[in-house]
Amino acid sequence: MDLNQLHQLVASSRRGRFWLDLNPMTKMVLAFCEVSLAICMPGFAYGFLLMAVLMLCAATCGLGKTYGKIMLSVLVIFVGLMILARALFYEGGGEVFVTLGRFSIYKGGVLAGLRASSVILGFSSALVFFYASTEPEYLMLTLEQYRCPPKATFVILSTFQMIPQMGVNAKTIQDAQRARGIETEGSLWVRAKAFIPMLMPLLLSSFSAAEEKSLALETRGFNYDSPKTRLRIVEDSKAQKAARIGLIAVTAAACVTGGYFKWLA
Amino acid sequence: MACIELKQVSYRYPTSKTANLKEVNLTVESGEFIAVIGRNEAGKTTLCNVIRGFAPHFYQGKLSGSVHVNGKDVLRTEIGDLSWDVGYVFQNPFNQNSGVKATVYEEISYGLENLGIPRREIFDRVDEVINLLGIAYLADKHPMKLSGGQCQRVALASIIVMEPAILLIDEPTSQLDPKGTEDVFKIIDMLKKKGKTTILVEHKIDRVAEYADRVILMDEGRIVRDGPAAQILSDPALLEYGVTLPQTALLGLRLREEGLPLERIPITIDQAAVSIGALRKEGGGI
Repeated sequence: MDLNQLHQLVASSRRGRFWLDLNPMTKMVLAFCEVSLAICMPGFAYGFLLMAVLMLCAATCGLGKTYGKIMLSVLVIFVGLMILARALFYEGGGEVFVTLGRFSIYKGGVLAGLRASSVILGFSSALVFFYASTEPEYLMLTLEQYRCPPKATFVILSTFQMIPQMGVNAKTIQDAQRARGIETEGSLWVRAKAFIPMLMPLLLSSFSAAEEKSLALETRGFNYDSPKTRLRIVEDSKAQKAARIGLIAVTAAACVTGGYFKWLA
Repeated sequence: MACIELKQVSYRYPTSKTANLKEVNLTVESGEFIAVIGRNEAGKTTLCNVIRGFAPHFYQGKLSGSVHVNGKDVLRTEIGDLSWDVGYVFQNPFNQNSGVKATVYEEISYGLENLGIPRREIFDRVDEVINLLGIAYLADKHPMKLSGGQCQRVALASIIVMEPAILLIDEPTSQLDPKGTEDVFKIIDMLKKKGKTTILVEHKIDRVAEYADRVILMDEGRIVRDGPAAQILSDPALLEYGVTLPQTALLGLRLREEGLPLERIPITIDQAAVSIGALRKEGGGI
């Protein structure tokens, strides 16, 4: 990539894909609306439908794999368990859905499981799509535009980078300890025992790095008292502003109506 | 014009039992290239910390005496305001990136963003520094995914781009491989040629001999020698302070010991070639 291309990459948040190019605030409002609807909508179709629709959206902007992978594990682990548990331990009686040996699974149980799953799926697909389609830098810039102090956005952003970095450090320490004969692989108990001696050097090195890091930041004018320039610009439009207000209004109305029907049921 | 002036400076870190700097007097003229040498715990880094105002502003502790940098009284200046005057490059290459930028290009721009420089100017200045340091090929990489040498060059670029009046460079290559060291010193050489006021703390004495105009030797928190590089680095007394001499100076001293009439003790290879060449012409026995 030459410098001109880099300028463009840095100077514009446009990536040429509809969902990626939306302002982070719009995506945040959208996710908020999706989650609210997941709570208020009666029945179980909403969560599953939302997951499918967002899968399509993710596919159009090259995020199909990321989104699909996470949602698949949510589907298998959480939703599967939820339906199973609700179905097996349902005490309402009623119509039997299927009989497995000594267990009878009631239709009511399955429905209750599906309803709970719908809420989980609504929450998780909205959040997963939001995080997958939003670059953290742009999200923080948007928050700064909404008066979030730069020090707060710094803390959040640096955490995004620090966690994988600590993972790398942890692996290095573990390799060094393995080289000195500490067992780090095997049963759960062995792994647990190996975890504790790793924790100490990891934390201590993080603390000592923190001192140098804060001095390095200071050198870069972190505490210099002036309005900061930002190379990256987050694009927004009147249409998006209107869409955000519209979304909130429609969702509020839908939530009230949906909630009413849920209450009736 | 003196751009750094320390008068009778003594300082002790809050965690330290004895003073880390003792009655230090130092005047640095604009454009000087100074190397600070001395054994571990001699007070070299503390000296840099005092000049940048980290001691006492960041570390706390008690400082007596006066410190003036670029005409500012450091003790009465906000720690953030000194970002304009003093750039500081640290030892550990991996602890110097901001941790919030996704590309090296933006990492280098971070300091300018904090100083509130207009966007257009940031682009121009970052481009210039990247080309100057020959690191354009790193510009789109993630700052966390660089080698030590690359990281250190990015750290240098991030400071140079801010155009501080004074540069403090504290053992920039102590954790680097020979290639990384070479790359970093190319940049330091460039800074010297540009006449940047630089204070370099360094153990690699042959490098010091090559670049420094003036050498300061520290021991137990005091400045024990301060003078032109050629004079300080050819003094066998340095060995008593736990500092080695440049290879060529050792050779020169040895030749003199053997009775050869060496005119002056060489401290760099180039000087050695000249001195020994002269000896050979005179038929001095080599």
